[in-house]
Amino acid sequence: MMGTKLIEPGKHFLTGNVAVAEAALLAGCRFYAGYPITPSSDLMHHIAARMVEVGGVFIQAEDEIAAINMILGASAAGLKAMTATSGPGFSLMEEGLDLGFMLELPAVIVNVQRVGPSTGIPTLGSQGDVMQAIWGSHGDRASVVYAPSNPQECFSFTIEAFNAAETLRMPVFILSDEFVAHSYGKVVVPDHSEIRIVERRRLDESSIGKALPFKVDDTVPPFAEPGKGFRFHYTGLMHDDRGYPVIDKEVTRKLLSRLMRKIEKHRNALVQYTVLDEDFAGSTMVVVYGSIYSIARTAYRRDREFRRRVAVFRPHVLWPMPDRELRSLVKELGIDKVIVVEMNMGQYMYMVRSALLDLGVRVEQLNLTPGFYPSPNELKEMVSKVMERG
Amino acid sequence: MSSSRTYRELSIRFAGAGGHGIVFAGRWLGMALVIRGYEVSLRPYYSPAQRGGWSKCDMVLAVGEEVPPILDEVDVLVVTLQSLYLDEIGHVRRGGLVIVDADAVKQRGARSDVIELAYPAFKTSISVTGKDRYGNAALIGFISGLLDLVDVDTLLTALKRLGGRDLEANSAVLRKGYEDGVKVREQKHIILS
Repeated sequence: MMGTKLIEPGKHFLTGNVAVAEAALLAGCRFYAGYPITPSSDLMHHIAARMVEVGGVFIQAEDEIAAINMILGASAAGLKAMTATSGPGFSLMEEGLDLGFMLELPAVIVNVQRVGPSTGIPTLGSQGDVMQAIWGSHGDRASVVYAPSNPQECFSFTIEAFNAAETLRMPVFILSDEFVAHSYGKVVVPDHSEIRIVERRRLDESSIGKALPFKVDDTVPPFAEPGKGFRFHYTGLMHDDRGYPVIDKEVTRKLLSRLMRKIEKHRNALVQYTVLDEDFAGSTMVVVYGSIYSIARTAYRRDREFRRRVAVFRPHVLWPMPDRELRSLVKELGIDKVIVVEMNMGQYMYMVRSALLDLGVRVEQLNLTPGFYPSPNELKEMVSKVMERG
Repeated sequence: MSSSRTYRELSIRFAGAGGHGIVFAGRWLGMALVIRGYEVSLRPYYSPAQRGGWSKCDMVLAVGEEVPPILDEVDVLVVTLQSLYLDEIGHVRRGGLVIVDADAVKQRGARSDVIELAYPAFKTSISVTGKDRYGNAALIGFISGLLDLVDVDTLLTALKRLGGRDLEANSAVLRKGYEDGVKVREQKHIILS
């Protein structure tokens, strides 16, 4: 694998972190800046070695604030760029991330979650950064958040994340965790010609001197490539179609609603989910995501009686949320109780509860202690106990 | 799947001292089993010590869908450190298999409801190459032959895919371990149910 520029098609046995790194290179990422932090550091180590083999640039930044701004700079120059971090580093990146949304710069940010808050437990995983990834902004912005459950999905979701970032011109998040990042698993790499790679729409050079860089005929403006002769101005301030700062009610309303509408317009292409409902004859649904899904699925597969009692709903993308699909399924399957299983003190549960608010469904939480992964049998017992609560 | 035996699901825990190549052994066998057509998951663990601590890895091979390597109990325990033998023996399922390095683990027989085999992995490495550094190859070969998990050629392909070094020495030790494993399986009629 290492002798070639890009990972070869075929079967591999990789950790989630390495799968993300290899997929990023395959997706066209040619700039990585990051600051090491457990449990994301080995992703950085791997891509540091590999980036030179594909003619890209790797920089170990002085901190996470510099790293996020470096990748925004690279993206502004037209490159596909990525960084990876964990909770404390993600917090440091937040201001830069919001700049990325305002400047409409594509980038992929990997948050390999660990136990928090603060420095928490660096070597153990959790799902404690869900709300931060979705809502962690000052001001309004909407994001796309992928939650892989195994190394194979770390690979495929990373390619999708780059495609989404390029399509929407915005930072996109991959929310993995220590467990999926450091576990090895089979990763099947398709023939490269079968992998869909999206490049951002760019302004045609014939429009030099005429085009305005933030004027849109759609929700996503074409990218004005530096060095070609386009005139543009980047600012985190509220700006008009030229990119110049303005204080204007109509411009403010128009820009904010367009930034939010990007997600809604592409929602159907972004939303992905899995439903397990074979043998189902009950009225309870388990909602589960990320690495906990692989545990829940094994519990489900092993026990027919459990399969009869519960259906499983698993969003691949946490945001945009597959809320309409979840509502339809709840109605279709006659669900009266939903149990949201997550490794935090309750985060996605609030979004599920909000989505099902008017359906008269009871939404309960099963909060796994961050860092301590239950076995499939233990998880099944925990779910059964919540079901027995009536 | 090749002609080796097919396991619907099997869990293996490797445990040993830092430097024994325990995690690499897991990766090596895991890669070979992936090539063979299994779904394989593997999770390494390390002690906090920077030097001289222990390392472990849990592996689950399965047919169809991957099973996360979070284990209530293990089918097969492979140990190359006395203290870890005592720590881990209680996690083996009844009727499970324990393979220890015969020289590293002298205090054995802690349980009568498991099959316990002592194999001189590091001595095998020395006898074949003059060095003890290929003990993990002997172990991988022994387990693979004993359980009829995967053939030597696939193991060697896996080693190359992982960028393994000293291919000649590893290959020789692996083959010896494999032959020993097959011999024990045939002599003792060991079939893990």
